[in-house]
Amino acid sequence: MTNRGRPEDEWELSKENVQPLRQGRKFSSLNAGLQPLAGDQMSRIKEEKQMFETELRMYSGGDPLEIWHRYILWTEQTYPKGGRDGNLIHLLERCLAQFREQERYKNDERYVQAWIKLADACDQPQDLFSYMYDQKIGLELSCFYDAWATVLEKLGNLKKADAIYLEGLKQNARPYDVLKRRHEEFQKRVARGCCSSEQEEVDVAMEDQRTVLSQLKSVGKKHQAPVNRVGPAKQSVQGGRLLQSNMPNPPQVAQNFQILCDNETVDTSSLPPQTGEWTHFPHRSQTNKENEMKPGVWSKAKVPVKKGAMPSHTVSAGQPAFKVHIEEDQNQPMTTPRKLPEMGYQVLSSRKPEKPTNPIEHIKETDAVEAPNQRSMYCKDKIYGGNDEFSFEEIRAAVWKKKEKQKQLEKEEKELEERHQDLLRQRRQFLEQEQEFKRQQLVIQQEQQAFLEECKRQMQLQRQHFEKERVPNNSSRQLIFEEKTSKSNVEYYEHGNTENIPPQYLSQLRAPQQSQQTAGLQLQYEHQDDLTENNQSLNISNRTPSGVIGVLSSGGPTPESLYKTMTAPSPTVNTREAIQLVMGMFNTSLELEKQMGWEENREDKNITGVSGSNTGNKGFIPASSSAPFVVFDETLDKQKQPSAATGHIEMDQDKENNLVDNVSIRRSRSRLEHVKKSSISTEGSQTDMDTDFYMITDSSVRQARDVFEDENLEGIESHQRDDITLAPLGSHLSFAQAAKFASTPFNPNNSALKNSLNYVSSLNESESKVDPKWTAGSQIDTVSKVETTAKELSKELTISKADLSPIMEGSAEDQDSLGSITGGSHLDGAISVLKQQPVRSKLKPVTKETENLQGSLVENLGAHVIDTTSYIPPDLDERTENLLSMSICINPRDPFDSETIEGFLKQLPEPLSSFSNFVEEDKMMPDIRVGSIFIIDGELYDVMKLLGEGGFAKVYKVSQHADDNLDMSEDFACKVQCQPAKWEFYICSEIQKRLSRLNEKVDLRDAMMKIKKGCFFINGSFLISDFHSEGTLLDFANNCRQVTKGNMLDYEVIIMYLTIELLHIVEKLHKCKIIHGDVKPDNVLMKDLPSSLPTVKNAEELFAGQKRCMVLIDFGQSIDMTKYPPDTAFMAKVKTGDFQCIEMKTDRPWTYQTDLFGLAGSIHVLIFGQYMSVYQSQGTWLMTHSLPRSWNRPLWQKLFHTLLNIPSCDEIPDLAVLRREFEEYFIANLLHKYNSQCRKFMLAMNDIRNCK
Amino acid sequence: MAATVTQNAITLKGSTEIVAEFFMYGINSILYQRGIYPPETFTRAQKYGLTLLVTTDEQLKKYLNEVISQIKEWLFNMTVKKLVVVIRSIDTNEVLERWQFDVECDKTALTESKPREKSEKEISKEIGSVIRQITASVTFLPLLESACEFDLLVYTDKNLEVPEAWGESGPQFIANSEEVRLRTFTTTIHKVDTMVAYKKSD
Repeated sequence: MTNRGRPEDEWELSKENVQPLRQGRKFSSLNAGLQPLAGDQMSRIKEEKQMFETELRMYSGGDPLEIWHRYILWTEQTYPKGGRDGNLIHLLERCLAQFREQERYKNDERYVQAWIKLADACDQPQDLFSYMYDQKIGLELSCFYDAWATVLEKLGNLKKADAIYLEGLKQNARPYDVLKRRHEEFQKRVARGCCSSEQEEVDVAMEDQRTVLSQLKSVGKKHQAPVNRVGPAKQSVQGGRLLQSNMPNPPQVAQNFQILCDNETVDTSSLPPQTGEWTHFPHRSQTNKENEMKPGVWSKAKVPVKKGAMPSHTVSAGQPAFKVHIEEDQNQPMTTPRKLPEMGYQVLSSRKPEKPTNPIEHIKETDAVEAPNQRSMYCKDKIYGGNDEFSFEEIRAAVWKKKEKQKQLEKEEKELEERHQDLLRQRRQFLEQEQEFKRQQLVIQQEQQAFLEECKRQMQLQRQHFEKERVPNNSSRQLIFEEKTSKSNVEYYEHGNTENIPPQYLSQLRAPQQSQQTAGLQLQYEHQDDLTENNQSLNISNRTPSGVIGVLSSGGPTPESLYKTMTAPSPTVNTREAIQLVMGMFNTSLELEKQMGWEENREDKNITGVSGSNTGNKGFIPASSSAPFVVFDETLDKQKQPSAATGHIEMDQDKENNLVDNVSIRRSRSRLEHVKKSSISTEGSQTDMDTDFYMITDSSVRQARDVFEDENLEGIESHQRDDITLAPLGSHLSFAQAAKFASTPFNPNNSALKNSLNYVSSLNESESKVDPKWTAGSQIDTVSKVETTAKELSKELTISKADLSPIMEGSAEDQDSLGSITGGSHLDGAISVLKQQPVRSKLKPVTKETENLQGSLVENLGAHVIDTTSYIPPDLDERTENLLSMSICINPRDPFDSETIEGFLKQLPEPLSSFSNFVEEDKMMPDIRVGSIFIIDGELYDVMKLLGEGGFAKVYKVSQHADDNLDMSEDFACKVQCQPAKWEFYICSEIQKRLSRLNEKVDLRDAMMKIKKGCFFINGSFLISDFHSEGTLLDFANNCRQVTKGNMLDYEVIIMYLTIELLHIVEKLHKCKIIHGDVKPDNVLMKDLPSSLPTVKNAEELFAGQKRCMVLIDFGQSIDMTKYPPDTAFMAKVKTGDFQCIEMKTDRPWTYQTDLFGLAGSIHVLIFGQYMSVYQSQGTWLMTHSLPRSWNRPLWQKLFHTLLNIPSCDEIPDLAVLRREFEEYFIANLLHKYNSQCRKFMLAMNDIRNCK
Repeated sequence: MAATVTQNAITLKGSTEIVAEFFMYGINSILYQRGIYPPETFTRAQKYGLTLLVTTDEQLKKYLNEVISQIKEWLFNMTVKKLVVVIRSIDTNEVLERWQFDVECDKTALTESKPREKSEKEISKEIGSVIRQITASVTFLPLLESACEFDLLVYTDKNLEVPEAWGESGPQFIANSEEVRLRTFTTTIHKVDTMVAYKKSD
């Protein structure tokens, strides 16, 4: 009672007033419609209605019925009381009338539905249906037949209803099956009705006629004639005066007239013939007119002339024959009369008793022709077109609005078009610019080429001169030489700024030159070495080509050396340098200051060496100022600018070097300053934790990125160059960054020097083709070589430089990024690829994909979940901290790395080929499909079916036929891999060997995958091993859920048994110093469970005496710890995030922990049927699932706790201890249950077996 | 005096009985209203001040009794969360209607032994109104054209063990559904919400 007043309950209170709809009602509309009229609600409804009406008039599309249809539906929903308020019937009539003649709608579902709605609303629907039938409306639709038959069924005329169903089926009404079903249901209902009731034949039509002059049973005391004079009220069916029949008919009374016997039951059970004659349709007023019309003198009767205006709803929709001219742009001030907010239905008004409506009549009369002498001069069709009347203003408003919308659309389109054009134009401009830059680049290139040639020549000359100089007594010659050289220099620089060559250069030039008469290459090497070994004299070689000349004058390397370096810096140069760099780094234990100091020393020496030349930048420019680049003069002047600018200005000194310009300069700087974190800090994303390896790559990569980012264009360098000259003060982001590079914090004065260093180094690295891509690549090359001492995979970088050795860093991501730098001249593409991997500054995670095979009933993710959101990194103990900070102790190699593994395999004491089950065939792997056959080592194998598939391998069930007897066959499992799985083969054999050596009481050799035969091809391998039909542990876990069905208590015994086995397997495996690497339920195959266990007290006896019930397979990911130095730990992460153990996810080193995590996860799946989800809370890792209450919770919790919370690599828990605890408990408490419970699980396993 | 007091006192067991009975009659009403079973197979019964229709079909009765007794047990343990009647078309296997009864258990009743106070009459009235609403729902529910079958789903606590005769199933939601909330009633120990979801007619 309390909550009756809620508006939501309105529907219930007014339920009697609500007309139920066949398709149901929208609840919101229902409630809204039932609400006592709220003003705004009413107006809203009115608005919507208005919308519909407008649409009706404005519609110019091809399907006018659509609007009517929607309007009808809306009306139905909005006026729950059966549409009276909304004039539903009228609307329906109008709609139907509108389209009555249109053939295309005759079988349109919507139209027919409207008919059916009308039928539902009217009293005598069967007439309507007959009319429809006659007019061939809806004959193709089941809904028509269905509705008609339902009506008839309600009336009791079952025979006719049945006939109609049949007719519909005959006509193949659509949807056919629906009609069929309804027919069947109808028949069932009829049958039920017949059976349950003992009524007389129900097919007596209710439209039973009264029989003429029949005798009726009298009713009541007064023996009055019954009101209902049909059916059972009749005493006899036969008409006529019965009394007469009793008397013998006097034959003489000739019956010369027949009493009209109208009592033959009209065959109402058959369908009336479709004659199409029903133009005039008998409705009630007409059929009943005999009873209703007043008798009168018929001579006086007249047919009344139809007078008066036609009711609005019967106005035809005929359009006037002419088109009304509409003047455009009429801007009349409109004061539209406001419609007052209408009230809803009038409360408490009496409704006139309605005349029996004849819907069909209304429909048919629509094409009544207007009186011939009248023609309406207004758009009658529009006004009366809808359900309601529309006023002129409304029509005009609608038209106007439409026009407005049109205009709006056009405007928008135009705008878009314009924008489009703009963009195109811009694009074109950019392209043109690009072209321009390219061209300029080319020009510069050529110039530089020419220049270099000149240099070379000159150097040659000079060298010869110098050699001659060796004659000690030729001082005069020296002088001459000097003159010559100076002259030559002058000549050489004749197109340059000769005044810029300070004379001291010459002297300096001579001195060192004499001392170094070695081949240019060596000089170059030395130069290179200088960098690492603090050799003074050649520092100056770090200059631009022009600078080289300047260097010459100040004692740089011989032209030849430069020449050589320019043409072909061999890989070894770079490698050596790189290695030395690395060694240097190691030797100096990564102390920044020292190294910076180290460099500083070098630079200092530089300074001393070229003291005089340090007049800003001018000194280094001279050579560069060769004629073609007169423009440099101007920029030279500009150089007296604050150091911030100097950086990039330097760079633009040598336009020919700009190709190697900002990009390479920065990189070379980075090479030199790889340890200077400040220089790298421009991006700021790099953390200090990074090892140096990655710093280099990252910085170079980043530099590349910022260069590329700034200019999303090709020809970036030239573009920058332009920018440099025009706006040197760092208007561009890149310049600021360049400036930062240029002016290193600890040596601001030497910005110039540094830059010149850059120039030279970049020159040295560059070949004669100063291809930016190439240069970039070479820088990176150097850098990356420095990175790791481990082997790495090579990629696209090598493509562009054939001579460089392919040692590249191996991270997939970084590779991609670098590759894109070099490979792509579309630098904008490169940008997106360049990613920083700050967190992953440790080793690369590239591994084989870990497979995730089945996961049937496992509901959540297909893998374990480690929730690190609440993870608080623990205070690392000393050892781990050391491990983390010192790059040496952590094995930088990725244990999953294929090259590492290959290395191991090559160094085996016994080569693989000596193994008895090893077969190597020097051909391509045969194609394996179900049904195919292959021959290995003389034995025939038949491929039966595919058992499973993973990322890199497929496992098939094969059967080997015995040689002599093709009927006998033995089943095996064959693992087919597209890369020869030698490692797996080796590990499996190795495990067997080591286990044998352990010689334990409980023999676990049967619990490890045994390879019967391994066959290796060029491009793949087969590994043939025993076939186990019981499926994997995952299958078992899934099937077991059904077996246990809520009785977890019993489940414990089996699970504990399996857990003990699992613990044992992993324990022994680790004892052999092998990490499996991928412990998961898919990788454990089930064998038969022992059917019964003897009751013994001793665990060892018990387990030793039983056969193993599980096999651990898939050792492709395994790690042999004996191959690594002791105390090695790994930081690599498995590639797929889902299979990482806790240590991997929290960036801690790991060894055996990964197996223990996998073990915990597998046990979890066994128990709960779902993958494990762990999270950290207050320093402890816990799993989200809680153990069944009926189990020995403390023991199980201890297990999980131990496996998930391993403090460090030195404190790997001893599985034996855990196992023994479990064994004890098992024997003490659960053993007796085993036998009975085991049966259930065997059945489950049988199910699995049958599937296989 | 004492008699009236005890009459108004609701124990956990009593509440369970009431709710289970409601479910029984409620399901029967739904089956009748929606035409899942032919109307001739129903007979009248007086309850909650209304004339309700219950089935006479033996098999159906047996099934319902089994289910209800199981639900009673769960109600007693306060492990049941919802009861759902899913009405599905036989031919297309599409879920057409979904009646959902949410059960909220007041857990404190498990511990305290003192019975609660609420008059049976009042509860009866509340239940009656819910059942009346079910009947009235015909105003907006779409007509079920085809032959339908029904399913009973029970939402329980997660770690409840599934009894033998029952299986696990999905929620059987209706896509694109219109939902209507009906009344709730409470026995002070159990509170039951009713809701019906049906396909939008578009």
